[in-house]
Amino acid sequence: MKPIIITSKSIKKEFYIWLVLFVCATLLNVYSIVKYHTNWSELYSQLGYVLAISIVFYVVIGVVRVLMQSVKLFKK
Amino acid sequence: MDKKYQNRRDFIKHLAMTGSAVALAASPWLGAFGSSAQSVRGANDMVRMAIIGTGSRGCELLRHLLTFSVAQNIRIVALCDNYNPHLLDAVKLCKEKELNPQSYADYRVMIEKEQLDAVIIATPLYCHAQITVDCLQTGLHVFCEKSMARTLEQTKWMYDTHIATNKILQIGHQRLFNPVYLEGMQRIHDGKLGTIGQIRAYWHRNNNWRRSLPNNDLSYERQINWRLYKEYSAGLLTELMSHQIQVANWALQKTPVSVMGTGSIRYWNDGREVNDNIALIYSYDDGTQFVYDSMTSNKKYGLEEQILGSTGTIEFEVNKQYLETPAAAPGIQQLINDVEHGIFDKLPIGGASWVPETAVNYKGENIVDSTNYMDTSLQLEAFTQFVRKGSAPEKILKEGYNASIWTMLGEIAIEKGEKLSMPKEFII
Repeated sequence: MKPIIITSKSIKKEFYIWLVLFVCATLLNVYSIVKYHTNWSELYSQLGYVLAISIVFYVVIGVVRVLMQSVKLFKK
Repeated sequence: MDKKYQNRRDFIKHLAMTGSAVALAASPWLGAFGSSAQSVRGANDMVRMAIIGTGSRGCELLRHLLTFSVAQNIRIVALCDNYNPHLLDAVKLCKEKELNPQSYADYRVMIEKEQLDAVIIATPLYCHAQITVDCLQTGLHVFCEKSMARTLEQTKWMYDTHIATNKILQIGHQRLFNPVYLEGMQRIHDGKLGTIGQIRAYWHRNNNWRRSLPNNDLSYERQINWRLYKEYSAGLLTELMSHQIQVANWALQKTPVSVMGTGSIRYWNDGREVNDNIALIYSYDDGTQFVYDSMTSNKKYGLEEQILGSTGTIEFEVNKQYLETPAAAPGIQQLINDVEHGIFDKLPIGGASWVPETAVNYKGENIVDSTNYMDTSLQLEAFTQFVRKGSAPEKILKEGYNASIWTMLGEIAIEKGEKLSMPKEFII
């Protein structure tokens, strides 16, 4: 069986992808604070929710990326 | 007794720690309970007590007393009951704690023979007045179970004897010592529920109050099943409602001006005389209504006292407060909810134009964090402290007195089918 090598470069890439998604989730939090006229303290009090949403986004994006890779491999 | 006993010190410490010290200061009985004011007796002097009436409630009170009798230096000197099996039950409880109190069948012999400071009376209701008066006149402090007495006149007689003898008379309304009620009442009195328009209370059970007779001997019927006969009890009114009218009066800090009601024997048609199904409305001078019902053939809703204010609701029995306009959920959670509803909710096509106004589905907040207190123990411990001080706050007795008077008036209103107000001679 071929060993799977996870390079530091690929770890960094995944971290940056998640970071972008975390920023997106934070922006979603800002949007909901403005939309529902709630307290700005939710920027930090709802960090748990934001973190959870960013992970959900990461999983969804991950599924899409796996599908795209599969399509690419299939075309080759 | 499924909760761990926490004593007076734990109780007061907890109130202070949870910010409920205001409740402590504002409750005259609790203030006295917690203070170290000059006592007639030393703080650790032995208090010699006896229990008169050792049936189910008497034994329950005895169990509570035994949990702190050593710590509080209480000596249970004597037990009294004219029904020997009950007396033996209480003796057994004492023996388990290696105590050996004297047993009596006649309380008059007991109070004459024994050197006592106080008695606890847990006899059938119709005996309360005579025994209480005899004990007070002998110079004993008295803790008497609720409801105070069987008639308006007996209730007043007990109160007048307390005034004449200057001895403590405390009635067993344990909610007066319950932290949930103390904190909740403070919020009500501070106006945090807005204007109270209505108080609703109910106590629903699905059980037969009839108890089996020893060897099916009918000569015991009235002694064992005294709760079922009007001569001895007003049934649901004195056994259950008296607790809840006391809560209503306490919440509103006043007594009603009128009562009307109805009642029937709807289900337990077995020769009993007291109603198994009652509904009453008490009105207060500011227009507030206390709406009450009780039955013994359905237990779905159990018991509750609901204080309905313009800005909030309290349900004491479940330790809950509900705001009329609860704080909104955080924005991000609202957004997620909206997205979920957008995806999963069905679109109504030609649906009903009227939506039923069903109860608000909101779980509310706890009134206090911990309910790990036994209010019956706390009230007995308070009574012990009062005995040592030689006096108790009058407010406690007045709560019991007014609850008893208005319970009796409720019974008369049901029987006469009339709206009644308090006769002047019973106003204290």
